[in-house]
Amino acid sequence: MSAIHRALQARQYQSLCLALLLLALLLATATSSLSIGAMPISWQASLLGSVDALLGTHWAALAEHERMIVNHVRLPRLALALLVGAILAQCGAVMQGLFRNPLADPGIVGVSSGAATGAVLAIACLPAAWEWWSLPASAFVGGFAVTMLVYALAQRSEGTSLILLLLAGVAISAFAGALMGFISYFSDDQKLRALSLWQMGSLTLASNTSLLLCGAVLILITLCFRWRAQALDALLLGESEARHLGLALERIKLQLIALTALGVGVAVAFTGMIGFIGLVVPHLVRLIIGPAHVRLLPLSALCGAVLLAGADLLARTLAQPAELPVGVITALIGAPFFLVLLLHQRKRGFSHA
Amino acid sequence: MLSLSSLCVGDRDAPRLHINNLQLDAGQLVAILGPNGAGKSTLLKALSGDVHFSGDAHLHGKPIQHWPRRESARHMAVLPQHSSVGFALSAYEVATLGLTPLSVSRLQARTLVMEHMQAWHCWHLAPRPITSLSGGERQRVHLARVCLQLSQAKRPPLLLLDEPTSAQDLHQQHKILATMRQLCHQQRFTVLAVLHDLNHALAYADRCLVIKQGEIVLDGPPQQSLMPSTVNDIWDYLPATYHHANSQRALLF
Repeated sequence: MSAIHRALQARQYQSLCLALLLLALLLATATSSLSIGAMPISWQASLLGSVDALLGTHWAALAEHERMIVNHVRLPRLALALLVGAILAQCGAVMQGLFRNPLADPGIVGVSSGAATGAVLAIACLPAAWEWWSLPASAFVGGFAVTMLVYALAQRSEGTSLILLLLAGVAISAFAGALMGFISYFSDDQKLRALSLWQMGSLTLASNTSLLLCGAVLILITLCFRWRAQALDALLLGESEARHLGLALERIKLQLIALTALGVGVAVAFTGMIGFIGLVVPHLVRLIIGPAHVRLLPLSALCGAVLLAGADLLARTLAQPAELPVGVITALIGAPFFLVLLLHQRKRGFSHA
Repeated sequence: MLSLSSLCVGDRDAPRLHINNLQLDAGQLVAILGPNGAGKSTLLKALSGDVHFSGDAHLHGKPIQHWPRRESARHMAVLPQHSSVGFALSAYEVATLGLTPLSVSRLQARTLVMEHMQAWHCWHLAPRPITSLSGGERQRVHLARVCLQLSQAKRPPLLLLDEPTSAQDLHQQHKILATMRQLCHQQRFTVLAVLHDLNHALAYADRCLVIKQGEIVLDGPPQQSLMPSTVNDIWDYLPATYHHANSQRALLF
């Protein structure tokens, strides 16, 4: 086998190593999340306890209250963190491919704000009993509308304009903030309580419905994105190049935008605004294994799950017994990261970006 | 294989490009020449569907717009003038994208990609990120990609190249033109290439089309049509002519 073949295969090995590393990290984070907290539980017992919860066995030697904490507090919360992290990271990676811009992120571009506005409207205007479906559905609609708008605004023949993208994000976030303020102002006490609880955004709202819905959406977007991985690669060449390759570009773009909006919508509906996962994770993964979407997407999902679960662990433990919102932690990591990326792009010039 | 009639791009009154009638045969390397802004790229863009046109353009007897997307991609490929990839895909991955409209097994795919990258002298660049390559190297990777895309054509395919040699060094320019000629003569490709160097057209093309102000002003075999006086009429520059001692070929400077 030639040296070229060996060099080409190196990336496959790198991906495999990264996958194994991330799986190990996932296991470590998950175990720590289950055992660390206001009431420490040994890691073996908490792991076994969660296996019990999932399979209905009785292997763990846990007291009843410990079992309660593992099964009904820590495990659902961990699961939600893993699911939402995986969803957000993949949506970020796809948006960056779609916009052909490594700085496109659902939070920065304003998709999250759009989804949040949708969710707030649903809380304020629709009966609370419908919330389990109206919340994610309206978040999806809000996110979808914003993505289409931003795409139309920033689209140029040679890619998307970074400046337009960021400014559109600023404008949309401001507008969404104003709209949410407006709705809050005119809500009655009960609605206001629901609104502010939701706006604080955290992973504490894990319920069976949210877990099921997030799980279903994660599976759906993972499969669809995997199916479109090659088209996403082709899109990196440029729109007309992708069309010349025989791709039904308009349909594919619409599909990808709808799926990203669905992912972000569901994530925002159940966990509030958790920013920067979609920006940081794909960037890190790309640095190691390159931008080809076949590998980038699944590894981003894994890395996003680890990162959000880790951030949530920090949020729970940093200021014990108080609990920080997890969005604060991701922003603390993500915002400086974003600035470094911006500096890096400025060095290469904004023209292409 | 390609026939155009009353093809018109832009306003009816002041068209950017107007072609009354043009027939291209399979297996020919056709050079498109002309001053800057004459409409050379516009012709390629019209054929590839990037700009709208009125009139008829038939590929193998069927209007270009009516070809199913995938079939069309298997029979017509485009090398754009500028192609920048913002993300660091490897050269191999970029070339592999040429497989998008094809149906091949994984093993077949690997050999196909390798063969095409070797044919365009860029196999040694395969593992490198495309962003780290020079303009000429990048162009060759894209050439490998577009030829790969045509490798399963059932009828003679059409290859549209916008300045394929613009970023190449002297050695590569001639290698690339020779490879293009080979594709035409051995595999019945029709290559429609925008060139700037008249000597390239003289040495390699079977036919040349000179476009000026949106119209074809000259059409024929380059050796017979590119006379110094015609060149002066079109480009407003009178070239000196040298005759190659052995091959009877004229060179223009």
